[in-house]
Amino acid sequence: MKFSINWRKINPLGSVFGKIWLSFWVTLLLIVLAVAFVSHQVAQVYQIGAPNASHIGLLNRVKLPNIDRLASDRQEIIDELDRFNSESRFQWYLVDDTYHLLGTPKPPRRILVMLSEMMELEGVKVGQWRQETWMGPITMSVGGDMYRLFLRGVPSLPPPNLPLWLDSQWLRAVFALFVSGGMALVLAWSITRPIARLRRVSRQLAGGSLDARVGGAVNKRADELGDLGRDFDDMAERLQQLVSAQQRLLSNVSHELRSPLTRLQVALGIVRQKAPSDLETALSRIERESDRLESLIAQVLKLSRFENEMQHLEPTQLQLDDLVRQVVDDARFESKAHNILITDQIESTVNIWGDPQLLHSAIDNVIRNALRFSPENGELSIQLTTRKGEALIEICDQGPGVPEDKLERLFDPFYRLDQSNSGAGLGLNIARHAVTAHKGDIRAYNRPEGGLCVRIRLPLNQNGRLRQG
Amino acid sequence: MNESHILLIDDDRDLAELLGEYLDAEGYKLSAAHSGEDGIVQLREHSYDLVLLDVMMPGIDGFETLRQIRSHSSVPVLMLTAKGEEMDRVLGLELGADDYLAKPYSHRELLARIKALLRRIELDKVQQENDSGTLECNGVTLNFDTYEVECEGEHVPMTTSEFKVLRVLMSRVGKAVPKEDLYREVLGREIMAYDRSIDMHVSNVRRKLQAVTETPKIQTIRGIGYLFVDPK
Repeated sequence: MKFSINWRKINPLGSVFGKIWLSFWVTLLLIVLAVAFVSHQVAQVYQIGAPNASHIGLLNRVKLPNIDRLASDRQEIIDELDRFNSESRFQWYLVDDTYHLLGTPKPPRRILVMLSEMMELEGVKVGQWRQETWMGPITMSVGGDMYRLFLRGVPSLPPPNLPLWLDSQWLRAVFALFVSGGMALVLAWSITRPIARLRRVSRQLAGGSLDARVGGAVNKRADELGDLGRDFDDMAERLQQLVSAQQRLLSNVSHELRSPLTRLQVALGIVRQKAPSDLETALSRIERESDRLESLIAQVLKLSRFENEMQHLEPTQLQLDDLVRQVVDDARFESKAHNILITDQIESTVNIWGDPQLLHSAIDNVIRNALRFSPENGELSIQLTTRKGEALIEICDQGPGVPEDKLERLFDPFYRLDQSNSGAGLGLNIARHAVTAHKGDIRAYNRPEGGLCVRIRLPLNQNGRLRQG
Repeated sequence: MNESHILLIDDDRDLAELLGEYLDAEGYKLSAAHSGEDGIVQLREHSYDLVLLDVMMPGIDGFETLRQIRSHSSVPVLMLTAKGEEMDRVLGLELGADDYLAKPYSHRELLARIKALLRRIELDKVQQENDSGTLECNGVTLNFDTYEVECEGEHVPMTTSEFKVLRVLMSRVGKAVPKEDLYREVLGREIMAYDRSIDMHVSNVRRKLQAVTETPKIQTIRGIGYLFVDPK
């Protein structure tokens, strides 16, 4: 698989992929920052460390409350601490041997938890929670009772040591960028992949492969995209059923209409064997009309089959000169009966991208039409030339031509200039369908010396890009 | 005159009745079978000069019927196909039909094809009496007694029509044979516009020969016909 970056895909204004990717990236970044902030705060809660020089110095300088004197009376110790603490910059607290904290103001519960942990550690520690920093315990005996002392309001601890790779702000930013960007990418992929699959299948469907289904991985999803995939498959199923029903109908109609026509033809043969000769004109008329009916059915079927085929063009590299020559050869056999001379001027090796069957029927229909209007002993000229990147096919007859104002309508379905001619009026319409499918055009004009010319122009280089559907 | 006996295999009973009356007036005797199975049974019990075989039939279709007929009989078969179904013709001729006619056909066309096929059978009979022994050319051997073809020592199965194509081409080895002549001598009729019967027979022969040998034996001469390559 070829991997290439499509920058338009990342533009959040132009694609769902970019929108999802960028917005998730930003969101994840914010979350990472928030988590980092909170975790930092949380780390502050329970930070216990060793006292540094300034703590020790403070311990030597700080004034102690007069509790030794009042040792025997617990209530007096409390009162003295209250008085001292309310006046001093540093507050002292005592913990007795029943783990009761003496002293005011009463600290929050978190501090009590921290202090109890500090007491379990060896030696004097400094504990910090939010803005409060405590130091202790210092063991002392007051009147024979053991107390542990804590000092509140000492300088805070330095920030904790983080792993080296998290210590640098830049590294942290890069790490966050990669982790969140990668996660957002995976997320965006998981959403846009089924969309791409849906798109591919719907293009296949539009291109005529009616058995294309989304299926598999997309339809197993439980989300809205899975719903969409399943609905799409239901739709494709229904479409396929309808089209195949229509095709079945077409071939049934063809069979059903032709059986009675065959019987009619044979019955006509029997009547002819037995009929008196004065019925000859009427019988010829019946025969002609039944021929016309048959050619009408054939053409209508051809047209509808043709429109079907246009849905699945099969362009290949082909030699247009070979194809034209083949049609001309066939036309020569037909023209012999009417003594029409077919002259051809066909350039050799004209390569073109196209559907051979479509092009064959286009050229064939135009030539047949020209033959029908050619007078006995007339001449029909067929030319294939190339110029300026296009192939030019010109078919000119010596027939009566067409009034200027009717030239355009010649290619309309069921259009017949003269109601007495036996064609169904679909041949030139089929030719136009085929030529436009090849991005060419077809035009008719009268020659100054009499007769009609039909000119088909087909582009030589279209890199195989024909109209699909 | 000895009246020719034709078997029609077609599920359309009305058509069979009408055709019977029509062909009777033209001097032919027509029997009808209304399904492929029925037709095969009738062919085993009686002998016919010609079979008209419809492709579209309920039950076993025309192609399957033809395959079964060919397994035991070389009676001439005219396939009646739906118009515009190119594949039907190719398949029919490949399976050994002698000619085809697209439905709906005019009574004149049908009569002309029947006459052409029957005339051809007459010609074949005369020719068969004259032909005997073998014709060998460029590694291909035709045996007129057994109607078998050998190419570079290997047996190559061919239908009657394909055998005749080879006979015409090999009897004029090294010369271009016009398609018109091939139609006349192989199918007993004139060429018509949009007629690909001979081209298909030739391409079948080519395909079968190519299965045995690398060297091409038959060349296409554009605008004229075909040529059997002279090794000299």
